[in-house]
Amino acid sequence: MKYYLFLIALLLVSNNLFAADALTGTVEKQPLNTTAITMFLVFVITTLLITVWAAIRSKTTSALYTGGGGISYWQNGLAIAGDFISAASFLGITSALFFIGLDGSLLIIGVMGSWPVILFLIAERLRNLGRYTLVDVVSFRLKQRPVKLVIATASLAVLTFYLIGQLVGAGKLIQLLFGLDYIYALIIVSTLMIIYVSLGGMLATTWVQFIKAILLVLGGGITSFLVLKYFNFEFGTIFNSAVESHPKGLASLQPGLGFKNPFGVISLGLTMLLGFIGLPHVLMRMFTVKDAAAARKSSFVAISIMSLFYLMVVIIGFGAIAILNDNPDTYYDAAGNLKGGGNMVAVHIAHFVGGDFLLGFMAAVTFATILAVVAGLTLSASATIAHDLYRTFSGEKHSERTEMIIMRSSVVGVGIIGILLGVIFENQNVAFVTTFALAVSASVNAPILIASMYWKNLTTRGVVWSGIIGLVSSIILIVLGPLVWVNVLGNESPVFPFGYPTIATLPITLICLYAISKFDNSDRAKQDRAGFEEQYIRSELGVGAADASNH
Amino acid sequence: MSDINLAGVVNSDAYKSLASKRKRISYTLTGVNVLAYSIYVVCMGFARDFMSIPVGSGPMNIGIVMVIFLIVFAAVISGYYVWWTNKRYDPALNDLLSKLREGNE
Repeated sequence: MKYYLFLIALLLVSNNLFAADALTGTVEKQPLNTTAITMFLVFVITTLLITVWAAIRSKTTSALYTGGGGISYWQNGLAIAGDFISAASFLGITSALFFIGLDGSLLIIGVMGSWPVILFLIAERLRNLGRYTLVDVVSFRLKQRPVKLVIATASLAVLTFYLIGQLVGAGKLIQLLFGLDYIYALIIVSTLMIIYVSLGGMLATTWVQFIKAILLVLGGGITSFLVLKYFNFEFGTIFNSAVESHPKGLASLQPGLGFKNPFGVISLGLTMLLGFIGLPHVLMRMFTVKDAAAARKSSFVAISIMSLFYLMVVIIGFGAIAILNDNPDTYYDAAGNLKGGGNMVAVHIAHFVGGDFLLGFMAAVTFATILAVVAGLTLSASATIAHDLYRTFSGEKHSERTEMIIMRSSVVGVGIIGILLGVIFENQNVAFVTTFALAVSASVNAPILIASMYWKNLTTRGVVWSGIIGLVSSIILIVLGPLVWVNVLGNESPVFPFGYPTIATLPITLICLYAISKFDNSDRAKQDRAGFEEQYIRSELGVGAADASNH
Repeated sequence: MSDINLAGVVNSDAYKSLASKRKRISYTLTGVNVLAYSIYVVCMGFARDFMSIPVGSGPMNIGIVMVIFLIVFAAVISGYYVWWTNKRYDPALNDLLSKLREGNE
């Protein structure tokens, strides 16, 4: 209870500070929004109560990591969608459609293209082969320690960078929406995340993501309905008006406004297709249901929700072009920039069609979204540290009790590191951070995961070396690329031309994986290949796959 | 399920034909999905004029139609796969396993 009081006090105090703060001119449009704060508090209180309930049930590592595998498929499907549609993706994609028109759709189709692949090739086998993490699956028939070390490192790199991107974005968004200082926003998000994950584990995280997904679809549904109503339910009118109002006119509906270099588009497409497949925190959700059939159904629920949601985003994003540009006095500042910065399109639209109430609702949903996504990332990172690293390397000394302590301390550790990194990166251009996470996921996690499940000749040596080379080449090419070399380090032109390095790093990883495994004649390699049949049987029939808890 | 010889199951002709049917479906659907996605991405990069060809009387063009189609398409092919595995594959596999189990008794 003390915590709620603290939070309310914090919100009130910072609002007073905000009102007096002349520096935050861009935030002027968002004074204390009581609707937003009330709704947000209701969300926080509800989820904290759920966390208490979940904490009582989370007495084993299995419960902490995956809710004991007892989560229903439709709830898991909604949680996957909730995990996947981050604030960055919701606000970012709406803004992308608003500013660069059709090119923004690449970000949507990347998601819609990768999910069916997860369903057709990965979900069921993953569920049958692993217990808690994708590292379990890759190392199934390979030598445990080196493989786990490499894949866990790649996973942690993906998760940490994804987390930094989310936290920096979160801090700034909350600053805008609630008028809260950046550092307080970071502390609130991290504290809540630590409470959810360390006490309630996967069960609490699932509920947070599940509720958030419902709220987001509800908010998106109302907003897109009202946008359609504004255009008299004539779908074509949205595009007619967009062409009339967009500064670039018809070009806004044509490719090339945002991504000039065609090869850059291909690299982006490749990064998203494979990058979304290899995200550890999303794949981990497959282990929360009882069997492969439930994992398959979860994926379908998730895909359907995302499909529905992105159709709404198309309506909102293209609708915004006409609505916001026709009301420049309300939504643009004197300098001709969108008030509150480029990410505010969805929020402005909610305000235009639904007034302060919908604005408040969407602001609260955005906050909830950030919480849900960072909770999922933290849970996955701490499971990787405790299960994949501690458990594997502790050997004989391992105990369930210590593993739970390590898992919970990792959550606190990740939370604190998150705040520190959030402060360090506050004024950096963080575009490269998420790019890096997706590039590593696309160049290391996804190809190695798929190969480990489908390619018999894969060996320990192949995975270890291609993992290291893929990771290192991703880092080097991102540093030499435009996002770091030019934007962060201030050099004139990039050494490597593309922001997304996957077009080069994926072939590098694949060639190494193939060649090293192929020419590996060690004894271990024979064992690795011989293990494929047993792995195949289990991946197909699910025998021995960790059973669901029966409550 | 430990009462039946699993290696025997996966090597039986009945299982092999069922498994190959399933592989055909999941690989074909993956192929179709990746192909549709690639066509879209390559056209966004290299066939910008094609994507800009108007559809109907308004400013709608092939690009926009493709975007909406692909968003819906992902859900449709996923739905087909889940329907097939739920209604066809799983019952057939369970049938097969229980027959083999009876045969062992």
